[in-house]
Amino acid sequence: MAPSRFIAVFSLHAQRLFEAAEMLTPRVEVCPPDGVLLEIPARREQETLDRLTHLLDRDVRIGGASTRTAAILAARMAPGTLVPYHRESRFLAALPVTALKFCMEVEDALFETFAGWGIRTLGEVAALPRASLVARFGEKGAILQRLASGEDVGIRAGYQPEPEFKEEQELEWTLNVLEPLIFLLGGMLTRLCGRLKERGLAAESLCLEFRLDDGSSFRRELRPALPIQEAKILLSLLRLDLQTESPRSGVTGICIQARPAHPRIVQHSLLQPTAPHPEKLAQTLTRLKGILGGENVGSPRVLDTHRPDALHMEEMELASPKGRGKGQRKESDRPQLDRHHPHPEGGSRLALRRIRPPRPTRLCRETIVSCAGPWRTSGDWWTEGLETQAWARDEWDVELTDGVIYRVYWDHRKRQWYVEGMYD
Amino acid sequence: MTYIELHACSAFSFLEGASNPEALVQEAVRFGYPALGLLDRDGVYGAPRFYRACRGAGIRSIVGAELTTPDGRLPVLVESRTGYQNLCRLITSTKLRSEKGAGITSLDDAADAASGTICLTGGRDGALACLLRRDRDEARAWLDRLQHLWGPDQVYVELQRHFARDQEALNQGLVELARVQKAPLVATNGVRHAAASGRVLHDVLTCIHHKITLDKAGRLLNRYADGDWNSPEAMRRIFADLPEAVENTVSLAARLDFTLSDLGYRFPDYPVPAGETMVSYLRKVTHAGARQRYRPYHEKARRQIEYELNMIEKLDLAGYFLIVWDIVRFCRENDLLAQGRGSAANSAVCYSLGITAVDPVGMDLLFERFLSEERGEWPDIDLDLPSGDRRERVIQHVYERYGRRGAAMTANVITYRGRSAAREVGKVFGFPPETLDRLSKLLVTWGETGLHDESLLLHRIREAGLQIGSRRTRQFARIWREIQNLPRHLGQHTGGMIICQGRLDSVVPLEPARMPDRTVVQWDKDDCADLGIIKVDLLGLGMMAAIHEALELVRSSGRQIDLAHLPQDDPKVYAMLQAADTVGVFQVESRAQMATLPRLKPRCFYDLVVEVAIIRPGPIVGEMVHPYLSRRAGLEPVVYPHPSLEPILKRTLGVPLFQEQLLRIAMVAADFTGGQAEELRRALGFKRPDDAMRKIETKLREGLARNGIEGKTHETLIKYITSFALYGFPESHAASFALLAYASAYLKAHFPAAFYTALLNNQPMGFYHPATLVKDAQHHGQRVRCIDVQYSDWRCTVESDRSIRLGLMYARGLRQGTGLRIEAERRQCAYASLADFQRRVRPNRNEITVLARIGALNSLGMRRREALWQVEKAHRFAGPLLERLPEEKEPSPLHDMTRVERMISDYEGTGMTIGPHPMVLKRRALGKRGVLPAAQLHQVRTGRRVQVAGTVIVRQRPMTAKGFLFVSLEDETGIANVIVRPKMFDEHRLLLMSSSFLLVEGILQNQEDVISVRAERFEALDSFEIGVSSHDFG
Repeated sequence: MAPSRFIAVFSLHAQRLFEAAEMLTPRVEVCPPDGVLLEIPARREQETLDRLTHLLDRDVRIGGASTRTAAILAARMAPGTLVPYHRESRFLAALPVTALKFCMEVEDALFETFAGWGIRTLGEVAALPRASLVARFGEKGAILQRLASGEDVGIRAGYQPEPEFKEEQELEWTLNVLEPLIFLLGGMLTRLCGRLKERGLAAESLCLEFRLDDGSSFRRELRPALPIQEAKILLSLLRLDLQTESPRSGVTGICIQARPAHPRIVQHSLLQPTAPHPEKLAQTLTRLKGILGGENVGSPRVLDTHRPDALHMEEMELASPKGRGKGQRKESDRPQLDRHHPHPEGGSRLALRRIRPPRPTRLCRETIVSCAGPWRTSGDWWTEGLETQAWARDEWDVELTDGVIYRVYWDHRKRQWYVEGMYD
Repeated sequence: MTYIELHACSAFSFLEGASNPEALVQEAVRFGYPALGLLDRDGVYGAPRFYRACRGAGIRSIVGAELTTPDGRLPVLVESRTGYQNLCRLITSTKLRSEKGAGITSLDDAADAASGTICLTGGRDGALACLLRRDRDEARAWLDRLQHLWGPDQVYVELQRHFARDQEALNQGLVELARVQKAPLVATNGVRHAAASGRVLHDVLTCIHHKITLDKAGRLLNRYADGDWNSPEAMRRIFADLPEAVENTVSLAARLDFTLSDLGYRFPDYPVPAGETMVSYLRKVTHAGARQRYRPYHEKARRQIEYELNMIEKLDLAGYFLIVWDIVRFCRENDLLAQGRGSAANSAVCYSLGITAVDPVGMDLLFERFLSEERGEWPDIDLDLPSGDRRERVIQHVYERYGRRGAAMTANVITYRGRSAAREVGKVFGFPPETLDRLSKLLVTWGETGLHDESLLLHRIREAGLQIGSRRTRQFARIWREIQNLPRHLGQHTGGMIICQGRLDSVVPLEPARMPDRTVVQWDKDDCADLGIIKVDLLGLGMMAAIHEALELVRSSGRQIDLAHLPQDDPKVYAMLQAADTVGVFQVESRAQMATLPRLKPRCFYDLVVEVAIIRPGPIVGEMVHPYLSRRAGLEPVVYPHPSLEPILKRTLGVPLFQEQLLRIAMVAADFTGGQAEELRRALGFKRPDDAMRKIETKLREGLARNGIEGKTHETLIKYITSFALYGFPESHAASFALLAYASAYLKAHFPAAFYTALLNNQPMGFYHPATLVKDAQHHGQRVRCIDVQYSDWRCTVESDRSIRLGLMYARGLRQGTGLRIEAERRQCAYASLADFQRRVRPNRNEITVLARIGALNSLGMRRREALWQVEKAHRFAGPLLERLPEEKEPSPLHDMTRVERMISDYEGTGMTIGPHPMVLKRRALGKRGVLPAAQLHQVRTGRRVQVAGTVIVRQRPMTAKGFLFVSLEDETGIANVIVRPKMFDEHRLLLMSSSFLLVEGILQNQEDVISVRAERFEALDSFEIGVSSHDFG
């Protein structure tokens, strides 16, 4: 059998590296985190190198040798080196001991021990009596020494590329109408979802790219509230989304890419109230977002601040794999217990019908029958200029001659009265 | 109708209040309150400063505390002295049974303190409010219980109105409860900061307290920006529906007539033999002591002692002197060195009692500086003791003698300073860790005082990488400035102890200290002094410990030496001092002292007293140093600023060097009375921010003008006196220190092995790192031997051939337990082999590795590398079955360490080397570049350009040096001093502060054999990867 050679390649563009390696040989191993090792017949070494150089960027580090260890160290420590056959140990002898960390996990303490011994190169490690090293470091001592001599130790993991869920289609004519586009998208989504289902996966998000006849492209990203496997549902969500925002000119090509995730499986309880079907709810949400805007739809979360009516809209979570019941909230969702100013319990309360956003108003003393206040709040004094959240206001409850009790406030920063709501 | 605020808390509630007591009082005065109540959290920490501020402002101070109970807070106001004592004892009990900084008082315990106190129900955090929010019936039952324990008239339901909706609902519940329980209402504001702007600082303190950033603090922060203060009119308006709540503040305040002037503190009586009074017994022991001290007991001494004893009797201080004498006697009986410092050295009685070691009669020292009728305060006796365990023995003796609740250490209030403020405030603003690191390095007041100047501060903040235009950064800068000097937490004073007749915890609450078996009071030494509480300072002095140990080492070698009777005019000592050969010598080893010694050329003990006193900020800033040295050298005539001052300044050649002289000048030239001189003395020693000195300066100027002292003389005298505010020594104190300086110089000159050994054993102390001490010992011909498990003890020792054997304590990473085991096992029998050592000592892997690396195992028959090879195997224990099998000798395949490797290992393993100085290895290359060794600098003429190089052993940037940096470079021949101008320092700050090895090119200056190089160029040298430690001083 013809002798094998190993070529190690390291690059920041790992994906491209794997693709190129696969084109050259099926015998590809992974060298985490950013490299591959190719096993090739010795006679094809130069040719492989040339093709790799051609396929990859200039900033890759390549090394070749007759052992995996020597090839990896050549690529890491002396990029571009092809270590001649049976010259591995001579090549490695001059490399620093710390190079071993590229071949196995070595704790710093071991390098400190070597430093204390005055051992600086792999050659010096290789020259140490193996039995003595084993007596000191156990099996690891033997492994270290074999690696330092350029020998291979252990079995490496083979490379298995991540599946890609992508459908592309070039159109022979330009599409300007939604319905035919939806028809095409339906076919593509069916194929995509079929592949996802085969692997027990669902689409967590969909990225669509339409190539347009003016040379530009139009991109949309669809994020359903939960991973979906059904092409029909995805298609209806896409339809709603495209109805909200359509390509500005004719479509000449389509690319859909799905990000895979495990579908959520929820065990419903007999004791829990029936909730809408998640998929349907997802459709409804998408429809609402189309009407109201994405930032206005979601789960409101009360913020821990003295600022009145302060909330943050979060992405709605439709079902939890842990089966959290309706009304149950995450610990972090709950506003912190206010240690300084806890809300009082008891006492009579009136319901406030809020006006959102509060409306600027003018107060006329003569119309005020009675009032209570002021209730003062201010805060976020440290925040930045234009994006400042700082506020300062005096809040009053006023009863006007019309018999209605209003909540009004004076905004110190805007120097303006606002009406915030009416008490029922 | 008026209103009195009864519930204010100051910054002494530690991170819960944002203003010092003085600021609160100022605000109360502004609002026209006739009284103010301070209720700090679980203590009366701020009460003395509050009391002093109220007295100064002419308003009444009301004392109390906000106690932490399981249900919430319980504010307690003091009505009478009994109540105050009860409160102090209650807080003490809670604190002493809890962790430091914690403690919860149960209602049952609090009931014990009911007599003489009045309790309020608190604000939003009050126990009643907390219970009311939970359960109305529970709240009512709790209030009922409170009324039962305190009495119905002693409990007030507290109402606060802070413009908060929820608080109003709460108040309605509280009013209803009060009506049902027939409890009186009282309005308060629950004040937590002085000005309206204090809210911002208070928010930041809250975040520091809760370890959270502002962005995440949410409702922990204040609800609104206004201050908590309201004028009486505003309070009347706010509580228009409940006028009695405001009226009750006045009637309640009228009932609280306790102030801190009525503490009831008494210094303990000394138990005297039957038939004696304290005065008669003091006379007896003083005369007995004087007969030992003065041989013969001459008339002058007798007269002085009699005068002092009469004064002591008149001031009723006999007990105090006897108690200090008792402590000193304990030290003597237990072979512990003890020596009084400070003004006590002015007293012949103290000298006779053995408290001090300087003869004030012989030195003509001023007794009134120590004790006078006009001072109206207790004398201050500070005792220097050997630091460490020996001092602890004395402290524990005092506890045993006066009871665990009769004695305690004084506190040290830790306040925010540049670095701590930058780090903690920066964290609150959410700055990333690397920015915090930069800020904490840049916002230190190391050697400069101008950081409070806004532009410099912003410049530094910009250097740290922050945008100074941003609001966040500007707010950071503001808070950084405002938080300075604000209390952070309570620490322990280095040695101040107070004792009391009866229970000290009735005078001030006690708390556990971090150190075991120690308690600390809630007040610092100045607070105690203000309230007439007597303190005895038991200070630990590293040099005392070193001298003590050196004497033991000398005696153990069979030679005799008596510290009390050292030859006073030893030529070898003075030759050494004149040559500035003073590394390791107490008080005269600093770069500045060394630069002065060759010019001052001390020839007698008094010269040493002057030397100790002259290099202090006062004389330096007052420009007294150069005139004195020039006059002493005969280069300029001795003249006096005014003829009337000749008797005062004659001894110091017309230049004032000691504090006493400044006081006398003020009395003679500016007609200061004894009382005013005393005021001046206090201002000179006062470290708190105060404008006392400015007021005194005005009086001084008026006095001088009255006596016709005008023009240049006028300004010179003012400069002399005001510059001493920066710090200057009293003559007696300088004399006490000079004694120790002489003793240490004597030991260095005559018993160098013992001297260096003792110094090495008592680090950290002094000006130099142990590596420099070792090199200095070697320069003096001392043989220093390496750490060796077959010979080294835990501490350094002197061997029979008078060589110094380094102790195992210098092996980095070796635990003391292991070190002592090595010592103890070896005493049984020497180690036969590495395996034997391993079996008997059981060091861990790191310990045995470090011992091998520094050559401490060489005497087991192997060199360092071989030892390292063997220990790697040896630390894998064979187990009890096989461990006694004969060791297999396996030859080492490793090369021996080279000279450089040995040096690097020494520095890594011990922080020093007894081998050649690292500069030896560079000398050939540096020699080719014309770099001179330090020892050759004296051969070069002044003004010539030179290059020097060495390890940076000291960087110093004193406040008095106007931004100059002084760097000491050590090479194999000695130490070279480099002076860096402020501009150069700013340009090369990073290089100068981070380089361990430095080459400096500059102009040589030789002024009366004081050699230095004025730097013009710097170069960082390769450091061999050695981390040489430098002592950096501000």
